[in-house]
Amino acid sequence: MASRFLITDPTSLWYLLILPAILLLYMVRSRYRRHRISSTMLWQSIRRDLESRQRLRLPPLSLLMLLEMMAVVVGTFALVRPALPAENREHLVILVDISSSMEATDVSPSRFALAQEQARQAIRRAKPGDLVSLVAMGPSPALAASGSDKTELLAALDHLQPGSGPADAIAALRLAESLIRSTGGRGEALLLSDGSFAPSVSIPRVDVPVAYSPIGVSADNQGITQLQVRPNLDGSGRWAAFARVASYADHPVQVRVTATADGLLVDSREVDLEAAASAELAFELPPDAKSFALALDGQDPLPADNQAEIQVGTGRPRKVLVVSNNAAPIQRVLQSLPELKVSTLKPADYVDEAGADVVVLDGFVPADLPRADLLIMNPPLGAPGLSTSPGASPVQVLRARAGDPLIDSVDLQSLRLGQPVRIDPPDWARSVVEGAVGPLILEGERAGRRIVLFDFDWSLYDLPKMQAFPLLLSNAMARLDPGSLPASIAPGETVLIRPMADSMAATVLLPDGARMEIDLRDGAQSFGETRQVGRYTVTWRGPRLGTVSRSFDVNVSSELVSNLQPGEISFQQGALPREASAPVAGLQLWPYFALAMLGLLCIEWAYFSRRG
Amino acid sequence: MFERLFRNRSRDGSAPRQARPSRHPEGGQLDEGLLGKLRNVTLVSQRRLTAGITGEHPSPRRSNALEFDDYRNYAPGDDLRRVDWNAYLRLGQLIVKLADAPERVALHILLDTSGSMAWGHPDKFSYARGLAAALAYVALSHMDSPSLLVLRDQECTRWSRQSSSSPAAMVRDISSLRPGGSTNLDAALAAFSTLGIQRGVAVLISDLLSPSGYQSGLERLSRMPLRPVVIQLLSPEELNPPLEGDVELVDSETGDAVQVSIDRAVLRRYRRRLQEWLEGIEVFCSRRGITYLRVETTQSMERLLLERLRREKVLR
Repeated sequence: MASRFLITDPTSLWYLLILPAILLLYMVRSRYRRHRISSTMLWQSIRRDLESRQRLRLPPLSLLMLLEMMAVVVGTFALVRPALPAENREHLVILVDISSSMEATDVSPSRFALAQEQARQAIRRAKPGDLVSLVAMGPSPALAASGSDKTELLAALDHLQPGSGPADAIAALRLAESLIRSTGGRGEALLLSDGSFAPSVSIPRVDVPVAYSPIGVSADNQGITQLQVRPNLDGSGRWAAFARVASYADHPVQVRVTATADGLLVDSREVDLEAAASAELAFELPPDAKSFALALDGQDPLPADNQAEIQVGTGRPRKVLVVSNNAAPIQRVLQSLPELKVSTLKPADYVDEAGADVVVLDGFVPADLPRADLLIMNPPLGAPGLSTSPGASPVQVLRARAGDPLIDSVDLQSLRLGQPVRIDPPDWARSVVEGAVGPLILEGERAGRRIVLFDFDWSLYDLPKMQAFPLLLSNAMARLDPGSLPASIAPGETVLIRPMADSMAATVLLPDGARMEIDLRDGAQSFGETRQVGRYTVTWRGPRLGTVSRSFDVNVSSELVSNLQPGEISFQQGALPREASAPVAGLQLWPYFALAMLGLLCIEWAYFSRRG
Repeated sequence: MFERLFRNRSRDGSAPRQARPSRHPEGGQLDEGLLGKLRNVTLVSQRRLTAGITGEHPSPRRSNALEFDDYRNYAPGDDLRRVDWNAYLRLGQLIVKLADAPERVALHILLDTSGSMAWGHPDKFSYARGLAAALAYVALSHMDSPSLLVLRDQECTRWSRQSSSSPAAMVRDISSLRPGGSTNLDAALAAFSTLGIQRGVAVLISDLLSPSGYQSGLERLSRMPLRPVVIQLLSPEELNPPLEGDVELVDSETGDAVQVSIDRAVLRRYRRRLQEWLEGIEVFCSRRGITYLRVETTQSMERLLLERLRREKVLR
């Protein structure tokens, strides 16, 4: 019987324990219904033969009890989800390449459209009962659909879109292996790709049959394969852009390259490219340029790689100026943080922020605050702009704002802090951590500056030797610049968007003008809707923050993408062991059991109603 | 309910009053049609003489009955229906037929009025009242003398006076009866046996569901110089109880309760016990010459009176 049908959820057999419960209920004597009759004379005479006085009795064989027990048995069989085994069931895993190179139009209408059509035909050819899995093969291959329902599979196929970064073929093939292995080892993988990933990877042995025929016919493509901006090393403060333009045609070509900065034309030139060759280009950017764009005017099968854009100035290290008589411990911590360029200065030598993005004022507060974001540590008595008074040492942490990023991962309970000077919280600040005599950590905005204030002497009680010290400094730096974004990423890559000040949400403007809201109440969120090539703008808004916008670019700048030469791949194919002990469920039987249970319940209800 | 039910000749020969049809629930229906048929039946007197010898004896009195054994000359005032017209045609002389005067049959209706009789669908007491009324009608239709005796508790009480019995009075007497209490059949029948009744037919209408039993009472009845007839009434619910599950059965007479868990096996046991009890009554009556009929209250009164009682020669 076990081989005749499969039980998908055997744990539901526990519901059969309801049967003895029903028996027990019928065995336990219920309350007697009073009934008047003409004479109990005859009943008295037979009562001696009856064991009506006993609390328990053999369960009476009644139709109602039988119906109830049958309903439980049938219902349990429905819950265990029996199914007929699917004999000789094949599993086809279709790997559809969704990288940007699949947008090439060397085949009509495009390589991706052709791959979609081949996938449709494969789905339609599948036998009833066969399993088909659809995998979107991008930088992170993902299962898009799986099952025997062709309608669902075709709908999932229609939702796939090309334009992501280079496909991770190895991960996709390993995924196909695991899918086929999970269903008994009978099946094959169908790789629908142009093989553009082939030159960069070595395909290992694959233990499933792989059917592959490269899609695409032409490599006649030119594209921007690299773009970056760097500050000039001459100390002028100006930036320069560097690009690589490649041609994969088998003949020399000439392309016009147009460079713009902030939308204004910077340069336009003809570039001669030899067959299968590239050219390095450099462009001087105007002062204070915020963005740089490059475009090729060639007519080739893949327009997506003919333009690229990049922000100027983002992604560069933030300048941090530490003003302290004891800067070494602070400098040591800050220099270990990425994207920070740290310089130090003694308070006596301080003049201004010297172009720093963040100024750390340790035991020193100038009369004119620097025009930068500030980390004020250990403010002195009588610090300008702050209401100060003598404090106390040591102080324990009494209260803290739960979940505040400034104290993220900091063990406040173990801290003993020295607070020789306490300040009254200014109007522009809010307390994050409080001690016995006043706030210990505050943060806020004032006159366009983000300010974090550590109202304690960090040099006391061995704080620099504790893990809390670098954590506090790192959290402060992140708080003072939460909006940092990468300058340029590839299609499909993710960007981490952090909350900023009192703004718990951010809006992302996509290249096509669409907007997406990102909820940041639970902290930083990964944003992965980066399939479109172009400029993405992230905007934070808050009552105190105001409006802050940052941008990043998605560019198809990759040789893997621009090289449209269809890749010939030979697979070393092994074989998965066919596991006979793992049958796959075919026709589901539970709906029939569920209907039968419903019928039994209806009969029981009718019988009970008639009986009254 | 029974007013003007009977149509009968009064003692002064005046026309009998029209009786309105009476309805009993379901089986105990008495309507005009049945009453008409009842006028054509009479009680059968199987008078006991001595030592249990039964049978009819000719009466020494002569009357103007249809059965005749002699003639005499017509005298003014004789019933013209008694004139032998064939003889007149032959002889040209009015001659009146003479015959044995049939003896008036004393009908004693013993009605069990215990609480158990007021039960069932149709209820037994309504049926019993209808049966008692029908038998009384038969008796009055043929100038027999019915008397109604009520069995209650340990007493047997005459509910109507035989000497002043009239159809209307009899109807009023019967319709005024109400069931209730408990009846000790043995004691009540023993009380009946002390009334000095020497002749007639005693019809006991009861369900015989007496906790004290029925044997000694019926034994006494069988030894009296009259013809005993026992009509046992039972309702469909007593024959096939529509009960299931855990029930507390309460006796309508005594109030005693018995808790029973009823299933099909228990019902089978009850029916077996019931059958044994009924067969015991039948055998008991048969051995003592008691005419015994078991009647379910769904049976039509007409069939009972005109078929079964005729078959048993209680009526003819």
